[in-house]
Amino acid sequence: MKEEHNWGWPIASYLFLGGLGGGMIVVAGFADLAFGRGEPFSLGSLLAGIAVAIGSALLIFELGRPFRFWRVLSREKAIMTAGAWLLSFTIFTSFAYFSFWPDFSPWRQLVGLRHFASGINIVLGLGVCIYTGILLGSLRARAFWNTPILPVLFLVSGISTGVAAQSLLAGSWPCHGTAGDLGAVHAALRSCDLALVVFELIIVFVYVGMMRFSAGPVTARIAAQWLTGPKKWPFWGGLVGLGLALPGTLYGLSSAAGGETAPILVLIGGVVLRFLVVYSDERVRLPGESEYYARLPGPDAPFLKAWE
Amino acid sequence: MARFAMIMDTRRCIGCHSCTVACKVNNGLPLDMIYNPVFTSGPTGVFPHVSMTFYPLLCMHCKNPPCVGCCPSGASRQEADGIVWVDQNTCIGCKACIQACPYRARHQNAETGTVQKCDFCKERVREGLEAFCVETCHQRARIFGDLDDPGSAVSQMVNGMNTLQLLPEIGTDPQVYYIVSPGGQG
Amino acid sequence: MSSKEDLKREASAVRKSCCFFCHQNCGVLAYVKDGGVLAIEGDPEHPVSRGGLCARGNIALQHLNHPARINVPLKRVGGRGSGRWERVSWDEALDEIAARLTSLKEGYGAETVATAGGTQRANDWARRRFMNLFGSPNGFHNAHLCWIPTFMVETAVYGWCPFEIDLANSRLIVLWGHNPGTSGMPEMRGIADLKQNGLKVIVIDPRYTETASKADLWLPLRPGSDVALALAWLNVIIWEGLYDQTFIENCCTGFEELAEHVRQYTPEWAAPLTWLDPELIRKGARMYAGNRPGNIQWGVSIDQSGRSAGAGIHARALLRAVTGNLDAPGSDLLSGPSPDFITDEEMEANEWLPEEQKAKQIGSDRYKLTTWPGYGRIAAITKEVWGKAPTAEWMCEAHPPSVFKAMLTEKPYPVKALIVLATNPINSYGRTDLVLEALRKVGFLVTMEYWMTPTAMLSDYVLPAASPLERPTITTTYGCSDTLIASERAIQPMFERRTDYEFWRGLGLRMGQEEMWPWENLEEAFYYRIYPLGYDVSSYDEFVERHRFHFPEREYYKYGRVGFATPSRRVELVSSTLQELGYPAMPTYAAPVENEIDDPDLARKFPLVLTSGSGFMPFHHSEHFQIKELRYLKHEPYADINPETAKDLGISMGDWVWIETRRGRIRQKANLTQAVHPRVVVTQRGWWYPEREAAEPELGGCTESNANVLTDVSDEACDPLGGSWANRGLLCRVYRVDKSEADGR
Repeated sequence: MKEEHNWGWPIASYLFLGGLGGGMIVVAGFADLAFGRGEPFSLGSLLAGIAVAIGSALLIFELGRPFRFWRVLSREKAIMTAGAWLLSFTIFTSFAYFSFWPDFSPWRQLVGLRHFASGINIVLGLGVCIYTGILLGSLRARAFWNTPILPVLFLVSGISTGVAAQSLLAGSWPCHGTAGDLGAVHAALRSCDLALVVFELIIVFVYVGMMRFSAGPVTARIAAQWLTGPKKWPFWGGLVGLGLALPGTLYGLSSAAGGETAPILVLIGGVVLRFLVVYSDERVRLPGESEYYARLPGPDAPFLKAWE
Repeated sequence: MARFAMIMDTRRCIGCHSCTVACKVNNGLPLDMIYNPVFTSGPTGVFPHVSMTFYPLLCMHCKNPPCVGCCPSGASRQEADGIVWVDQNTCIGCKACIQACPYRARHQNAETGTVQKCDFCKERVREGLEAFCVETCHQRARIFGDLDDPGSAVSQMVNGMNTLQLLPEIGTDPQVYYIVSPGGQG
Repeated sequence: MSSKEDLKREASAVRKSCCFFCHQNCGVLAYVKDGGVLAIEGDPEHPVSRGGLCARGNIALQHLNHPARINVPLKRVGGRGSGRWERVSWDEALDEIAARLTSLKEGYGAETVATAGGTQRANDWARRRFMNLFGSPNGFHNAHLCWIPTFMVETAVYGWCPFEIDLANSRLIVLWGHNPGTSGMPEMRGIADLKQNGLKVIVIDPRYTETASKADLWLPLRPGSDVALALAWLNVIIWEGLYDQTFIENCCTGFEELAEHVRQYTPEWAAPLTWLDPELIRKGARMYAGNRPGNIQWGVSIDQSGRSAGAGIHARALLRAVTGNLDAPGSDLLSGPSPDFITDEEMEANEWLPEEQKAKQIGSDRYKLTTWPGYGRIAAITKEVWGKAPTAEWMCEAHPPSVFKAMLTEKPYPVKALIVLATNPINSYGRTDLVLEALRKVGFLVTMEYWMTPTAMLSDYVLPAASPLERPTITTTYGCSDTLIASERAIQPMFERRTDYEFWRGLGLRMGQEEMWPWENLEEAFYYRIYPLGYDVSSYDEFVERHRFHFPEREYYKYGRVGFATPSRRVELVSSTLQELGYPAMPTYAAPVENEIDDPDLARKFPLVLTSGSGFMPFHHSEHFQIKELRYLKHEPYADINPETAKDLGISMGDWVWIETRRGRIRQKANLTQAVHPRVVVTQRGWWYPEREAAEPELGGCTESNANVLTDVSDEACDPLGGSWANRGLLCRVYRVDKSEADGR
């Protein structure tokens, strides 16, 4: 039997949600600190916190012993430990930042404190985006992940999906502005995401290209699967086409309708990217390994249930 | 302090799977969990000029174990004598260590949710007994011992013979060494 | 769970038992308490196994405690094979069986009752004892496939079978159709140890086996062509002057005749028959003759060749003689039977079988060597020279296919009853459809077993057999060695299991044989056997505890003192015994019964050459498919086929394929491998599916992947000397199972 994927859809989903949430609070924090326009992105901060929380819940769900999850908040030096702390703080600070914005908020007027929270959120958000790539990249046994490009890719993708989500939510409650006010915001977000999408396309091609022409048997094989093999539809169709090229084009054309579709496509692309990566976790095979496991019985072999 | 290592003499290994079964039944492993499979490499070549080698695998108890550094709960640890093991009471089953292991040596127990693996039969070897896989092998193809003891068989073999490690390029410095005869003929 | 050491500490005693799942009988230390076994491990003090245990040995407790074990006597309710049983007591079962056998004897003569065994697993002397006293000559095993024809030919030629290999002093060993890498763990270890000191290894095998991968020379001959190879080796050794002149002059007769006889069997003659290059054939012969002393280790392949088996065995036997590799240090030793302990043959009560009953032994009219005509002659000589005879239960047996045919045709007379013990004939005897038909039809079928095997499923009574840990065991190489290793019971049999000894004795006591069964249990019988050795012990168990084995001082060149146990007291290169029995006095080429040279039409239809039934870990014949820890490692059957051939046939790795001969077809998965010649196919043996229904018509899937569906037991296919039927070198074809059928599984 083929080596099962040890990390499946919950992890892939978490990677997306984590990157998404991190990106969203980076956008919110940046808009607030650099441009003083934090309010349109306030709801986004709440949803970012929820996204990261859902992602974390998926991680816990995925554990073999979910009730022991608290052990991950240890003093170990593992990347995952750092990540767990990071996620925990991020959830808290996202909600905390959001809490400055509703009219009923007791500390609505504490702008200085809110700016401080923005700053923290930017750092944490970037951290959450990049940490997932660092984690995967550190696992040298998984040849396709073992590259410094991966954290960069996940960072860019995280910010990009954050921008996309924020552009869909921009101006929502508790924001007081009108649609007209948001014209400049949307234009800025569009340009920003266009740049990110283009940058991400380049990184994707560099990544896959490098892997395709690498010496390692696994990396070349997986890259070929993405480019021309069984994964070509998700790669070309899902990630490159729907997830990057098409939204990039729509952003470039600057139409209103395109402006609403493109971010959704970017989000889809973000999901597809994480799934593609998580399911490309092959190891270099040891001599004779594949044949051995191919011949072991699957869980439904009749003899397994006999003589209970 | 000891530093444990194992030598697989593939000139003697005949791929009989006795070690696989001895480990499984003596350690009470779940049916579908195999700590030490024995792979068959070959026959390579074209009939009748062929060769074949058997590779028994298990946890390599690496000197730089990637599975220890990545463990967020501290369940996966390495002792001073080099043995890598998992504390079943602490493991949360996140499987980072499984993802980190190049040798497919770690396995999640479907019932307990935790990760387990070969621990060189640590209780046994520390009392001077043999690991089950070593004890059962008729061919004496598995040699276990202390690398810090210059008189031990493993020391002499590692230092005196051509041995190789599997996947050395990944950089984990596995402490299971293979004697493979030249030309691949086992 | 408690560690093994904890369990061992809990035990109240440690028993020196053994594993019984193959002939090596590796030592097992059993930690016991309150009638149960807590833990087992290999016995480091066992002289042969030295603490090792193979995959089978390691599952002793899984075997002992398996939920599918037969634990109580069962009697059939409803039709044969219906799968419905009622529990009966041992007394009831034995009473009824004894009564039935008695009445059958009255109606049809004792010869109407036959017994079937497998490979050596039980106290076969007890079986023979009962049958002799009862009056039936029709006991048999798979002997014809396994060593016995070899033993008898070699005894005919040089007075005993030189199966004891003085490997420690040897320079070379030929493993002829033998793969200790999968079937003889301690033996393989010995070879590996000695290889490091320069021992050379030649492997003769169509398949690149585990052992072949360690060999210095591998001869991948056409399955079934061993006789041609052996004759060509004789030709090379004799005509290149590589023979041992001194030994031949001092100890042999008939050299000139033999030399003339083998002149025609050149390597060039043998090449198209063996598919080996003549130079390779020469190389092997020169290597064997040039590295003296050397050994030829017997393997089952020649015994299983069918029609050419006897000739092949004979030719191979002479190789030792012409090179002087007999009873010299480092060669194959003619140790002879033990003069010291009571041998199996001495426990068999052969003198009680009347002559007129001996004459009725089925198959003895045609296959004389391993039946009373041949055995009687040969045993008489060995008795004269060695003082003892070879074990009759093995060396003197009815011809199994002929017995099964008699069940169906009533020729030469009706066989109305079969007692099956330590075998699963449906899986292990030739021509499965014949065996099935016979077992369905035979009037009375009794089986003693560990499991509900396909044969047990068809039986009238199924009796629970004791496991290896539940019985004492004496290891003496089928009763023919002068060495003895003794193992004691770990625990008394659990549930209502009993040993085979108690079964035969139980019948004997009910059938007028009381006086002949004075030993109440095996320990008493075994004590009787080891007593003459003169060790100061008061019980068998004490012998095991304090001594464990008896290895007499090795004596080389015994023939100097004793002579060779042949009519001329010399090694007879022209065998007078075989000649008297009506066989060629010298090995004469016989082709495999199905071959492409003599029958090109058949070869067009069946273009590939099959060798069936290769042994493989972790199973043993048809055993252990129920042990999940073992079955998990290999849960489906695989047949070896060359990748070129597979490609031509559109077969990919792992495809289910039909392998078909004239007799029928089976399905196994295709293992594409360069280990075999493009025209050779190797099936695995023993396969059945115990997880399937244990009743008609399924019968545990016993015909689906069972190599014996393909084998040939016709009279033409059987070896004229001993009656070995053809498992090897048959013609077959291979084709993919329809995709739709495969999906259904």
